[in-house]
Amino acid sequence: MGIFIKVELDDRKCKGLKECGKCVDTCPVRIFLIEKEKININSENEDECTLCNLCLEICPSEAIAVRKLYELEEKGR
Amino acid sequence: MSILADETTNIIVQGITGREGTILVRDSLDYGARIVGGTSPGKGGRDIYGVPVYDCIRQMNNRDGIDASIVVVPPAFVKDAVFEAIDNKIELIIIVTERVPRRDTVEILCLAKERGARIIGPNSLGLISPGKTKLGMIGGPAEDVRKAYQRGYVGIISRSGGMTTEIAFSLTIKGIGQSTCISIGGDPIVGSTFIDLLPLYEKDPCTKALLLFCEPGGTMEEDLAEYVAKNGLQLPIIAFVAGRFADKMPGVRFGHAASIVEGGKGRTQEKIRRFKRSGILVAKDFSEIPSLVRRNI
Amino acid sequence: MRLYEYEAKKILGSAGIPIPKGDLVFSADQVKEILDRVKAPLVLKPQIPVGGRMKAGGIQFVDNSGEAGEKAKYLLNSSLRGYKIDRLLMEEKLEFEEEFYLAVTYDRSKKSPLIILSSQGGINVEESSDEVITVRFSLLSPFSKYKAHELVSILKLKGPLFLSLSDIICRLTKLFYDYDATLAEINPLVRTAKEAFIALDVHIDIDDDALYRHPELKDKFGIENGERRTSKVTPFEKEAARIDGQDYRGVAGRLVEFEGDLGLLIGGGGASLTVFDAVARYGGSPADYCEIGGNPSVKKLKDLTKLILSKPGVKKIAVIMNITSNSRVDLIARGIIKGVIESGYIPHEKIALFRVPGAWEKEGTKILKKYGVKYYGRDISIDQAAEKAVKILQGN
Repeated sequence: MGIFIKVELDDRKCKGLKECGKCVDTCPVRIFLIEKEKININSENEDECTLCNLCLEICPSEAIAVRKLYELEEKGR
Repeated sequence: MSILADETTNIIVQGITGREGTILVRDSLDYGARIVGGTSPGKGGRDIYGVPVYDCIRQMNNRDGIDASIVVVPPAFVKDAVFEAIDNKIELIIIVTERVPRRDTVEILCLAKERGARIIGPNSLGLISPGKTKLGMIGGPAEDVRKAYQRGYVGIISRSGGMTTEIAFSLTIKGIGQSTCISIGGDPIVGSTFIDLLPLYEKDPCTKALLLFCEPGGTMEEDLAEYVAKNGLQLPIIAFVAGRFADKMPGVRFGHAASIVEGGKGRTQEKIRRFKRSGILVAKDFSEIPSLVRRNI
Repeated sequence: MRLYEYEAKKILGSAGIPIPKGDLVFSADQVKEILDRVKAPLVLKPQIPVGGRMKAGGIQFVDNSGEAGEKAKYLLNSSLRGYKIDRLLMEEKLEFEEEFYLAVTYDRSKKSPLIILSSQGGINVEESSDEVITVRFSLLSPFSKYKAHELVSILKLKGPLFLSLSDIICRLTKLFYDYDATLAEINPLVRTAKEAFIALDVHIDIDDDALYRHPELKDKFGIENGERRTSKVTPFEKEAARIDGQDYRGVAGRLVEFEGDLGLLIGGGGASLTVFDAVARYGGSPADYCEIGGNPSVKKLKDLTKLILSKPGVKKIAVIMNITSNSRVDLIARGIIKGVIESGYIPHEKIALFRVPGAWEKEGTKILKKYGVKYYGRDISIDQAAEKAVKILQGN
């Protein structure tokens, strides 16, 4: 589990592997995984995220969110 | 005003889609470097921050206009990538990748010598001509690069990638700018050494002094001292030699072959002694560097 | 990776270079069995991962088979140059007329492979440098035999000896290339009364960075890197190397162990020397020091931090690096903080200070701030950071 970075994939928006799957190819640190023909988040790798934002750019349906947990909590206080 | 690269240098990145490649492209574009394309076999057709990705250099339009390549592919693919760059007549190749097998490095250097290509690295952070362009990771993100480097008249060659920016910063805060700063790579065998690069700085009308960051091991410093003793000093050279106490640390041992080839060279004190004898100025400690440079521009 | 002599000889033998008849023994009980194949006079050679065995008095000669077991037992119960002897190479003792020296290595200065040949081989070869001849060659085309001929011609050897020495040079050069060696040295290469050359002792270093492409070392010769005692590394240092090896990106694992109470994670190469010196100057006592370089993964840094904290006696760690270019401050902060947390400690208590200015420092500062870790940037020098770390530790 990431304690610094949380990557979320909105299943309702995601076009899925058959139509798209670009994020899987794009992420340089393999945060998106193919499991049982579905795109899943590899939570082991979340903290490796380099904040390159390439997944956000490439996703055609804005289904991905990258959250910095160290910022979120501070704002919440 | 600079050597090897300036604001007109067209650059490609081999291995552009990887973790290092993507970071490098964004930082370099932000600094104003002209990254005109990149390769990643099997991933051609997409783009990284607007830079087109190709499967191979041959696919690129206007191949003749490419001046330099930055290689960030994994170690096992470095030789192939550099051969590709040399075959496509690219004359300046920076190898950023670490842990390249020694044999591959030497094969690369053999081919580069035959074809007249210049190699920087392996295990190099790259080079920067401040205010103009940067090739490689050197300095990091553009805002950090601007803090540490400033346009000016001192050339820097560093054997330590990490210390390149630290040294430049120590000059910049004292108002001393740089012409071109090069991290030559930390491997035992690298494409460009002090004596390979010195003549370029000597020819550059705007470089008024050269600053070197040296480390124990190898004979790069001794070779330079010999070269300077023979050819004379065209340019003031200031050196900092790290590791005065590494001489005393365990683990520094030379075998028969190294003793025959290098003849007992390699130790910090020996390097300092030879530098001084040939007229190269040696800084006593790190903090002395800026004042020593200022006095000798 | 430095090969043991017996491993190097296996490779030489398979490459067609003559080696003495012999076998490996791990206990004195095995001696008898080997005596059926290898007759006295014999030589017993401890297999340790460093040279200088002869000068240290570690080589034993056995004139009659009866005393072989006794002498093997003696050696196997002793140490040589700091290494406990656990295996011996038991070889026929050869009478010879002349000792030669032959090596293939890289000339760092000329960036080229190099063959070194001398007719004055033996344990003092570097002192007889007048007799040494060398030739460089290109790796782009296969090594040409005439180069060996030219080299040997200088020694004025006759007929069959000329040819057999040239042949050995070609074979050693090929082996050097094929196995990604950084050194392939035969010393001495002896000429026997029967006018034959035999490799009496061999030293081969294989490039660690090329081991991945040599599965045959294990498959064919049983040579493995796993339990190798390349130098006097502690299990702790070995674990660090394992963590570093997980991923080729960046360095986070070159670790040296000391006896103090301050764990150091510091920038590699030039920077680490400066920091280490400063810590000593201000009276600090490092528990260990580990270099970070390049841009290692968060996981690598996390595992390494956990390892450093697991060392008994470590009170706090200090993270000090030069202004970074590609080592990202935020990723380093993530890895180290995660390591501290997973070790069951509180980051701001365990981390004395963090002085890493450079790439992505804004993002890094946010993380450090959230966890309350003392952070410095360009405002203090590497030296000053070392001094502060020492003072913080002494204040506790």
